[in-house]
Amino acid sequence: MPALLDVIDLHKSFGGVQAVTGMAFTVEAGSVTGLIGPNGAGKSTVIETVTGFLKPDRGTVRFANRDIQGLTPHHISALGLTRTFQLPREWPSLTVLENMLVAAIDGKRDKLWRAVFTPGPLARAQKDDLARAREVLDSFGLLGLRNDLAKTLSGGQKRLLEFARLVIARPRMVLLDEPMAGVNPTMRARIQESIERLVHHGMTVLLVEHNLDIVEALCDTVVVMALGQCIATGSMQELRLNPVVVDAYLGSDAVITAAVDG
Amino acid sequence: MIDYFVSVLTLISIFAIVVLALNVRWGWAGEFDFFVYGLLALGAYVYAVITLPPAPKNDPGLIYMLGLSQPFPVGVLGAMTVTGLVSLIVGAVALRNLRQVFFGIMTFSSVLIMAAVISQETPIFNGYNGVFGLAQPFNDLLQLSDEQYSFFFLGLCLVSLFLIYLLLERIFWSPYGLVLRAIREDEVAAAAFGKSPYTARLKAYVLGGVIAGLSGALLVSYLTAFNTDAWTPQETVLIFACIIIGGTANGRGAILGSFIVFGLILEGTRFLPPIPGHPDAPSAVRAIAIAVVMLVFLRWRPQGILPERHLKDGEPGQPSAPLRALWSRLRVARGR
Repeated sequence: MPALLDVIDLHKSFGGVQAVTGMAFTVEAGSVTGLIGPNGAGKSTVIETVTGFLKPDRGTVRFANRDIQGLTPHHISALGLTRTFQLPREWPSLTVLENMLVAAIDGKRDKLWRAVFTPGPLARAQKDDLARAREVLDSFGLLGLRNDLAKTLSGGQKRLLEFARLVIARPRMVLLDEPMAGVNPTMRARIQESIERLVHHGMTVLLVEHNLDIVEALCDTVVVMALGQCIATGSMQELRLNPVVVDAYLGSDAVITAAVDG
Repeated sequence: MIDYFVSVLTLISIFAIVVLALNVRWGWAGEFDFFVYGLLALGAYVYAVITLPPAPKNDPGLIYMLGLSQPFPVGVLGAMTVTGLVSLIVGAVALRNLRQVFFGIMTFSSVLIMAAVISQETPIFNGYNGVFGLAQPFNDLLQLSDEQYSFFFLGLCLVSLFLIYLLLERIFWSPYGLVLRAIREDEVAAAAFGKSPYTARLKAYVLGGVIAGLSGALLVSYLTAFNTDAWTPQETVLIFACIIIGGTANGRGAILGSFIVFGLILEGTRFLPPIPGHPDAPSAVRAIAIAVVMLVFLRWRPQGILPERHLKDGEPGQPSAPLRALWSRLRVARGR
């Protein structure tokens, strides 16, 4: 499969701290790739630099055969590469439905001159968006809350809204930054389903996650990061037997588990 | 008495336009903007020098630039263009990195700088003395008496206010308006969904500037004179008060707030009984009343009397609530 995202020799430091030092990995189109590693390994910095929220010191980020390093976040997102955040970031004083509509609006429709001169076509497009938003909200069990302000949702519902927004926005690829953080076990299953649904809609997924069971269940390939670099790549089973990975992240319990399982 | 009401209503509708302009910047885009009243002043000056005849050559007490003797529509367009361009410059700098109170400091300083330049550099707009002697718009054609003309001008202001309100309603409910409010709520999340916070904010800033220019042009053609005394920081507080009391990000709220602040509070306090030996009491009472009402609203009803409106959606697959209501009314009318 061709690589959709290709990160080559990425460097990023904050003052004297070298957060990412020569990180390189690829994500194949249509895959679910995991990105794991100990706290402070630089996973979040990689997400931030790839999506343009931080400027890399040097290195290349290729997305869909296009160099995107140094572009602004909204530009990168408009190319089809979207991210989520460790804490859900809804638009709090907009309703759930309005949150969905904002995500659905593409870069051609949110022009001021169109609002003034072509309200008719915009209203028709909005009607289609509304129908789609209702459908997607229904599938996430949020339809009954559509007229509520997003800030009134619970933490888990906010996570689901974030996935619903991704489904309606239909990017080519999403970078999920610890979607399971601070989520109870029941909700964890629903979020796992939500990630599967993104894949079902044809999105390529890069998943940063500490919950290795989820990573194993979802990811075809897993990239392991430590000290700002990629130290190994492979399936979760291969990684459990890789001494470098065990030493840096998994710990020796993992080897025992893998041996017992194996 | 009727003259008084017409004059108050005219001023309220002119101020309501600038309140709507601030509502775009502050209510929709969330910018803590102090520049808007400076733009009203700039619009007033620009309108004046476009419509006035050239300044007399040998009068050192009356010098100003341009003096093009153009009619009202040209003056209004000129004022709106200049305030739009100045907003573009100030906004392009201020919106890049500054937010909230820092943005406020930058825009407040911009007003002070502009006031200093306009009052010190006499050849621009005649310095402290300002511009005066403007003709009443359209009255060379209409030949109305002063009393008739005041009604005509009130009508002109009300129509302008209504058209601006309709235009802003259209933009508020458009994808652009929705995206702008999302950016106000969380610009990082908006950027993650492909929306450019800077561009959207800058457009809103210029839109607000253009509308403020219109209100400036109307104000100066009503007053027929304008100088630096006419725009003080207090006016800016009043415009913010209109939005805080009437309702943030709600056009109707902004207009309602203008009526409450400029009509009820500012004019209402004129009818208080005088306190002997304290001639300044009414203006002090006015300032205190505005402050107290603002504080009460900020503490107990921060969204204002008419809060921001949202898209309401009925049951899935059904027409939205107002349409449904209309439908059931039609069915009743057909006797079912």
